[in-house]
Amino acid sequence: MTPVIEVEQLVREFKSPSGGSMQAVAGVDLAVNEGEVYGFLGPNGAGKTTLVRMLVTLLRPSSGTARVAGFDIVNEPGSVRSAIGVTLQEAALDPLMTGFELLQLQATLHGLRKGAASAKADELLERVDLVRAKDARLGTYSGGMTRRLDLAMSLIHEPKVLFLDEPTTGLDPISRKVLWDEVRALNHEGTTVFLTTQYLEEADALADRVGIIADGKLVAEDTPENLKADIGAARLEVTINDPASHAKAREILGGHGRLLKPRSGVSFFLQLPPGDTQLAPYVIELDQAGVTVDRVDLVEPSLDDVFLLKTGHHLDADAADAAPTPVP
Amino acid sequence: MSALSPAYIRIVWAIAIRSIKRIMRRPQSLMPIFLVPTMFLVVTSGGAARAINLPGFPEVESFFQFAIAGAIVQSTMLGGLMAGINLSVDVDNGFFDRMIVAPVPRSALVLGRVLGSAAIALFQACLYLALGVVFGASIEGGIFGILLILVLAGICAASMGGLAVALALRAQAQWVQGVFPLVFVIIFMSSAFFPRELLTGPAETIAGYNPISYLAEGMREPIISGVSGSVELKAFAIGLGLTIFTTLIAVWALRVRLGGSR
Repeated sequence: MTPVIEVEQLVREFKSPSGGSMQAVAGVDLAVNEGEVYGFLGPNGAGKTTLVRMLVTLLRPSSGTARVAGFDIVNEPGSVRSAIGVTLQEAALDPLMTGFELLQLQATLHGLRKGAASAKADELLERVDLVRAKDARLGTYSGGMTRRLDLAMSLIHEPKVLFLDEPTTGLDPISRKVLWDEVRALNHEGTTVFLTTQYLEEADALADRVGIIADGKLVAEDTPENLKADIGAARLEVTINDPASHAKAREILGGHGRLLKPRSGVSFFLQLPPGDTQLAPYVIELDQAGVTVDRVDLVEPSLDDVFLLKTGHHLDADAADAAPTPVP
Repeated sequence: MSALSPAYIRIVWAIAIRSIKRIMRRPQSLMPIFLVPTMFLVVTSGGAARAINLPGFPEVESFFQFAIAGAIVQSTMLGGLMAGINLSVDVDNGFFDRMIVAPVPRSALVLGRVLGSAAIALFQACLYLALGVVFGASIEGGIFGILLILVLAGICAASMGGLAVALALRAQAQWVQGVFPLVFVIIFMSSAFFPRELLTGPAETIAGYNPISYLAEGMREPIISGVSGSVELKAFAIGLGLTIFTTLIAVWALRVRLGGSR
């Protein structure tokens, strides 16, 4: 596999409010292979966007090197820009222009003549299903439509590498699904995709490999399956509505493994022994002890568990609610 | 990509067209560049009507005829400032990042906006000349004079546009908007609304060093007395020099903003 993105010890420092300096990206090494979807996962402020801005030549690194599509981001920025497509956070588009006008402008910026630019704009509007809205101003577009147009603009020159910085943040589930399908289709056509996200399910659904960034450092990198496999066993969620039975249930379940802090609405959260995926023995044992189990679920390891393991905290507040924290 | 290549020119043109559309599609951005100078033209024409009787005042039909050039200068300078305000909006909402991440020569991004200001200035100048004719003012220089006025109006807007773009690239949006009152100060410290020959003391000195005086005089002469050549040529040379200077500052500001990246 040929790497199309190669990053070595990339650092970006900013002045901190206290007058010193802080590293938003603190020595990241990574390589993304041709044809891969690389998911870059981390919470807000972890350094994802700063890394992307350096890779797309919007920001000069403080130190370290990076090559994108074979070109150095500092010494050959023009060649990098010709080879990449970029959608930045929050779909930065002009609300006073129409979708067609923006695509045409983008095509002109990439060197296409008027006729070719118009033809390309029409082709991409068709691709992202915005033909009917082509002459409407962006101000009238929904969030999903804007994101699709943003994606179309980044495809105008058929880039080898596509950078998507949190492309689905703020979108409804249907719009998110549409965008995911388009990313998959692009990747299928051979485009390498570098995707930053704070959504676990997005990284899980789209990425061939995932890099987890926290405090400017890459703390883990592998396929989602391997990362989750590192966590090991599944967990058991048990809901018992009768508080009088909780002591007995705690005694029984605690005898089988480590009890973790359960999420809201769940009574017990049990770390199962490796390889154990059976619910029935636990339910039967509780039942025989006179404890009525109202609900029981087997929870497979998630990327948030990986994140928790590597960084000591959850990816975000929502995830914190959905995933366990070890009970001291 | 060289500055004279067809691709470069297409990019500059596309950015200029977008600048024009942005201003035309936001009526609120048209208000200050037309309403304020028009109000000022009406007020000064009424209030200073008798000033034309002062000894040494150029021979004119009315103060209104004399002040049309000042209104064009005021309107086109404010129009040029809109280039900076619109760029600030692009910078704030991230659209500017999308443009600079394309393989575009940096100077084209600046030139496009400056050219956009100049193009809008042609429309502004036409409007004030038409207003003048409707309310009885003669354009003594005829068609050739009108063409000269249009060129100088474009240069006036472009010079301000370059400065506003530079400011937008180096400062926050509120600073660019804060230049609005400064435009009025620059105009009042020029000969835009009063003949330089009748100014005295510091006002005369400042107006003499103020390049806007020469642009205003270059636009005024074709209106009030016809084309002499020397006044218009001086206005053209000073205005063009100013435009090149402010545009270079804007290109420099963009390079500094991008941290020296090409």
